[in-house]
Amino acid sequence: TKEGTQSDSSNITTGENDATNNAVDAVKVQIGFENSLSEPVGQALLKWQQLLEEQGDGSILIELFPDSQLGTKSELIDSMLLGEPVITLADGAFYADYGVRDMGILFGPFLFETWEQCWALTESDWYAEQSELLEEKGLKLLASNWKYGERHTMTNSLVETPDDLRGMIIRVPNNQIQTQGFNALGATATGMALNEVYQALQTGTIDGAENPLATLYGRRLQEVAPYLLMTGHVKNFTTWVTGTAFFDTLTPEQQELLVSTGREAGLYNNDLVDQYEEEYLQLMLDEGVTVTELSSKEVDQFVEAAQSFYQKGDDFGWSDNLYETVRAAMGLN
Amino acid sequence: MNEIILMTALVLLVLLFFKVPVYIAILGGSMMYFLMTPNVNPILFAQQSISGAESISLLAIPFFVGAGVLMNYSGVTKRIMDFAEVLTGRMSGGLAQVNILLSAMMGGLSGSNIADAAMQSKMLVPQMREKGFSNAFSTVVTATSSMITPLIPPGIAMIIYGSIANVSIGRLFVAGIGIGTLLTASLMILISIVSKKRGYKPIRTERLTLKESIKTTRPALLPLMLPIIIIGGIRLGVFTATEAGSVAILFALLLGIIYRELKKKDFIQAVKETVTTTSAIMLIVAAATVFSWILTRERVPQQLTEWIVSTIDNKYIFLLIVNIFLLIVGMFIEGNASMIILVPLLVPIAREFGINDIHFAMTYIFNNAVGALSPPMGTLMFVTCGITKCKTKDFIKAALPFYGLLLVIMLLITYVPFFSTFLVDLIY
Amino acid sequence: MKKKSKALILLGNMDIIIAGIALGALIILTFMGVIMRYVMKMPFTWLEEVQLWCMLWIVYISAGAAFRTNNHVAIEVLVEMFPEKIQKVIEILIALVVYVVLGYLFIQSIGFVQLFIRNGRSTNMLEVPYSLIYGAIPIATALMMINYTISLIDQMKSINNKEIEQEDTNE
Ligand code: NA
Ligand code: NA
Repeated sequence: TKEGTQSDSSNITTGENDATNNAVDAVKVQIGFENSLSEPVGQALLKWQQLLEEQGDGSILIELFPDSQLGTKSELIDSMLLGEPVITLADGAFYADYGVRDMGILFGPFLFETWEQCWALTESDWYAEQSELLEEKGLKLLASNWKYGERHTMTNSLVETPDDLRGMIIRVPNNQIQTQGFNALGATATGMALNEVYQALQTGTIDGAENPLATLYGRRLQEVAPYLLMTGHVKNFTTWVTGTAFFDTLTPEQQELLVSTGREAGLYNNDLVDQYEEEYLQLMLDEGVTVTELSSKEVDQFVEAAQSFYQKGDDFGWSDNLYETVRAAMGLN
Repeated sequence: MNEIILMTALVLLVLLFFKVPVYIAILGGSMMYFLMTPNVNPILFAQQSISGAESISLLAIPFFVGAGVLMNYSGVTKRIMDFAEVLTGRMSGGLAQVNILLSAMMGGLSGSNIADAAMQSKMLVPQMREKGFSNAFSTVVTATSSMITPLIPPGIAMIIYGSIANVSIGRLFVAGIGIGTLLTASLMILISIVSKKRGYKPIRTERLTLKESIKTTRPALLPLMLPIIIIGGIRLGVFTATEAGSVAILFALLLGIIYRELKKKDFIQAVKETVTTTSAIMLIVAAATVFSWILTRERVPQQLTEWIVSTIDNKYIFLLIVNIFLLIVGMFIEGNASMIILVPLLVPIAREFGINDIHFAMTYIFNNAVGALSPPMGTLMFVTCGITKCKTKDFIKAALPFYGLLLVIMLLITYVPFFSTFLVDLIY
Repeated sequence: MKKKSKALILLGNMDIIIAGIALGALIILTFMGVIMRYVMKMPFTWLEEVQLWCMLWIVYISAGAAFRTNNHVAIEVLVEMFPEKIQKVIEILIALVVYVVLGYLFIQSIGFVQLFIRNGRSTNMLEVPYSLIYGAIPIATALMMINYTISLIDQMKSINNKEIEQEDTNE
């Protein structure tokens, strides 16, 4: 039988195991993510790993797989549904495509004015309902308090105002929410694999790309698109998610520990992100990037343009009056 | 866990050497892992074999295979080859030289060495055989020269390396031109030596008359538009390197119709060849994806790297170990996949030893490329042999002088930073 | 009579026909994508998912045909060093391995498709159910086994013919 081939090298742990496991039998949770370890989120994951080790009894450990080593986000989520001990990061746009339609709004342009509004929303009843819908789909949210960064726009020609952006072809990740969201701002969004973006910018196949500074800088886009427009069109928080099938095999203590250390690492992450954002900006300036800040009037112009996105709820399969519901949930009228 | 990995690798190698189709052999080894590891869901075996065939960056493969096949049937290849003979007719190993030059040129387009090798195996090898080159030699020349592709910009390998290691991609491109040229020139010299020895004589000794030259050049004018359209289109940002493949196919189709050489029967045959060749190539890539996923999941590359870090304290020994390590890794894991795992681990150590970033990058990328050619697992060898029906035994025999040359170049790049950095220093 | 044989040929090449259509769609859509982005400034948003879908079908659906046309490469060096009798035994073992591995892939890919039937997931933009896209994989794997069997029978026939020819010449 299968068990027969397996001796002491097994690392399977079931829910019946209590906290007296030694390290050999410890549950190894695999965290797979697209970023590299040197990015803030990678550093914060090392912190999570360390916190779990310090606060736990060694019965549960974290293994890190940066740079999509363990597979793409979709593959990892599928493997969670098959019961694999996997955690990955995902955001509203992804969950929308996954069938929890309303969560797509989290990635809408200019939804949040401040990060406080964002955290207010993730603590709201509305968010709890959405989390439950995800659980019905077999996905358990572990932490939703991680800043991923503000998304800005880099272009290969000078862009100073919202009007300059009109008609430019900007690469966005391949999903409906981000495509429509960026189209609403007047640009022409196009999907493309992140690996191809550098060359496409260099040759002018596309005019720009949008992402948090860490990714823009990490992909070295400043070499081929030396104009940074600080649009901040999405305040991008991210979530860590695992499969309910795996989560339910953990003891209540292990569950509690995984969640609490994940949130604690999130706070550490948010400090890092703030600090790094300034650093990345400085690095970009040092490498000759022209940085353009928007005036408050120009921001208003974008915010107004973004309204057309929120009226497309039917296209996205949203609940009625979702925009108003969400505004109310973050404490706005 | 390590004994399971050892068993997996052992089964894989035994199957591979006992004439099991390569694709099945790699999957078979991987299957053992799933059978012996009860806490991993075996459905992931299917997931990973599927995901390996579902990659946007490998789209270039069906496109460039298709372009090669269609150019053969539409009469484009023949016209280009006649023209190439005008240029190289008096050189030893004429068409073999054309094969090399074409890869250096293609380096600017497809960006994928597998796509390049597959296309040229379809296009050039039959022509070379017609001119008296052996099948094995033609296959080896095609496989080896496609190593030039990732070196000459643009290339996904450089972009991935630059992003992960935070090294200027522009500088990597420039350095790649230097190394790519070095490789191109050395391969051409080697070919002319081998050709002389084997009696692959020049096609003619006399100069062609102007009239004769014009006579063979004129039919090639339209086909020669193809590289111009493709390179121009990419440089001007009309389409990406991957999309260029679809343009090439449609252009070859158009010429086939203009020349009236592409009959309905040929067209059907071309489609059949394209899909079966693409399938055979991509299934090997997909199977390798499963195996590489297993190694990653069990943290094998990570552990080996940790071992290197903890044992080596000399810069030159470190470089030598990197040479050997990457050759072995290159055999078992697809180049870009291993880069994602290894670059973040190896680059900080190289920096600690004071090795120049560009120098190490070139060492890494060249090494990785050589791995794709090395038996027992070199993808390039399987791809080209699969298409030309060359026996791997004959391939390896014919490849020996080429392995020798690659080894010399590899050592030069590894131990003489000048080759990697001189162009960069000149330009920046 | 003639009509029937043509129908049979079509049926026997169904895999090539489907893969060929996927290839055609892949080429034309990719080219159209260039036009839409560069000329019309209205890029297709759904292109990538269709490209991936076409690619997957080309690879797996024509995998069986690749057996038929003897496109799968193998390392023959070592086996050819053995005496012919042992080579025959090895050939049988190889066939066994091929069936076992493909059979395993067949079973696991059914499990994979069931996952998507259960969770009802579909592609991001066009909302094509993944169960439909991946559903081709177990079928393709079954086709591989069938085609492999056909190629084995062909191989045995040609070996027998060769032996008969050899006996003839010996006489
Ligand atoms: Na290239
Ligand atoms: Na070549």
